[in-house]
Amino acid sequence: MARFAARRLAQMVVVLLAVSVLTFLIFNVIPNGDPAVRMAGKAPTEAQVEAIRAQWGFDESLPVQYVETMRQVLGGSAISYFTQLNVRDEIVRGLPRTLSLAAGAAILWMLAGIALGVLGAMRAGRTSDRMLTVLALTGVSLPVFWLGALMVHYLGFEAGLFPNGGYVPLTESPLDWAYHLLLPWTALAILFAGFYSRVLRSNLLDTLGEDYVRTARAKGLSERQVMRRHVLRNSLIPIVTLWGLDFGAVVAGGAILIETVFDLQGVGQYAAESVGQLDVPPVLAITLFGAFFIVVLNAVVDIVYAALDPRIRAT
Amino acid sequence: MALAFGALFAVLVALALAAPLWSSAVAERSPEENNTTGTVEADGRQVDVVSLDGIPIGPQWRGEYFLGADSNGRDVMVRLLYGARNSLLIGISAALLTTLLATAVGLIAGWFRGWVDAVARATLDVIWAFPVILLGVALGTALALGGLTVGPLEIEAGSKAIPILVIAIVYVPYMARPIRGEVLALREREFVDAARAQGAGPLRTMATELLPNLASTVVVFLPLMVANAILLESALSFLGVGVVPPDPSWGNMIDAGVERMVTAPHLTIVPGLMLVLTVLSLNVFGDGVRDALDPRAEPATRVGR
Repeated sequence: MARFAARRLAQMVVVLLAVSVLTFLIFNVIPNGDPAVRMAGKAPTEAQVEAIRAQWGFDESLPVQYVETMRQVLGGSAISYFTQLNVRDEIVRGLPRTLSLAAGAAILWMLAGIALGVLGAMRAGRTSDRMLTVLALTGVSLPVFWLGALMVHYLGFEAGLFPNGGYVPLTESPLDWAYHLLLPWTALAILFAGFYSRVLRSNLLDTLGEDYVRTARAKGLSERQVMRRHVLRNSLIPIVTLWGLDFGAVVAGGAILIETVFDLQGVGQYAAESVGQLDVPPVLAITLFGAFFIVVLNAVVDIVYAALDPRIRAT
Repeated sequence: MALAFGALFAVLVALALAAPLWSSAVAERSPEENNTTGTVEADGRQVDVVSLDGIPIGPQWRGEYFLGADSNGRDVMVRLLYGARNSLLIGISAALLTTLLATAVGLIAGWFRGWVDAVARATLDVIWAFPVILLGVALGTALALGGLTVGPLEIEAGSKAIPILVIAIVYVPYMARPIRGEVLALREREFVDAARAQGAGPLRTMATELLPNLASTVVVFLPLMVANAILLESALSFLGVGVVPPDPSWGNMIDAGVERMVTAPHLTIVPGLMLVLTVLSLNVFGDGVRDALDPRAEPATRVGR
């Protein structure tokens, strides 16, 4: 078990290293532009460009630049090419917003997913199950930025029921915090709940065919009790796994669109703005941070699974 | 039910194909033709297509400006249909390219195992570790700036090949992993041993024994891949790194529409509805295909995160 965990962790470090190199290359090799020229503004003189190049180290070779950038990113001293702000400070500023968004939405979509999934499985094959299927698939098919834009306009602006974007820290006023986040939570939850209900429904139907469910029914338990005590508990494991991974993915940059639409100014929106400006240090930092989240959660899931089921360790 | 939604998708494709017809015969406008000073007949009198304070005309429900105009006086219906061409073209091409890459990677990794498999898996792991949208946006931005030159292949900045390539790459791991797993199981089967005993080399075994057996997996994935590719294309275009305006795509139409939500909501609602209809039809159809071919499979409605 310890060996499996160690191997999984080593693998993790290699993947993260590769992610950082790849991100660096995406922005330094593909665009044939020169960051110094972009930073110098309109109609710069050759001397100005040269000065920027020397000051930021763009005249060094790529491997040197990579090592230097990584040293700054990991050490927390990286600075944005364009806003000149410290990247770590900006991420730390945005993180509570992104975490608030992801946490609330994750709870909502889990609850909605379980409710819809159980309902679908108990009515499998009937018309109401079919309606639920289409409903779930509609949720999955909605472009989140469009849904968000409609919500902001019709529920926020026209009806005046909700604030027009923005964010209030939890520590300042928990009520205002939730009030400001309710729309983005709902938008994100609609997107995920459909998928969760589909996965859960199919797991529930599989479990309903097991022998121990027949036994539970035979000993006289009501259908409700069978569902709650025997079926649901056993079907929830894959969903919980998925939940961890999706939460990580939302924090890791999956929130780009929703944060932009609702103007939450979290890490996702910071990423969107930085990418648009080809601002390498913040993008590198956010991508690494995001990949770290995803990779760590993947590894944790694998290790927990291996601990529960020794057969997995061999592969 | 799946068939009805499959038919709906076919109708949407037919509409996209009919875009030039509508443009030339009904609306008599091209998708990129501005008309900020013109007038159109409505309620029996001439009305400005774009009013003096910049508000475009709403849906007319006939011929010219069937779905109204955008802020440049362009015909929304014509742009919607041409946008459908772009969204479908990019979605379908990207999904096919993903399928091609994923099948190749899955076959090679699953068949040769050993270090080939290790390299393939590591590559997939790295792509997998990126949040899908972040990687898409990063690649899209970088490529949109200067284009790409790989040997004789040259992709210009602003080419639709860029979103196709970006989307195809981003989704490869989600499809290559299950295919690799299937190949690992298939290669131990008797009919594969039989083919090898008859002297078939790896290429021949893959083509004649493994590929046909992977067909059902690929067929189940394909509609869902197209649905996800169309969604990602719209998101990239919305963020300004997909289809480059004035060339229309549903994503960049919504992007332009959101700013005018107050005065002209139809600019946002109409392309969004088309997007939802298209993706939904593919998802329900794909769900039905999966039920028919492989009822025990996990519902794979959503690929990527």
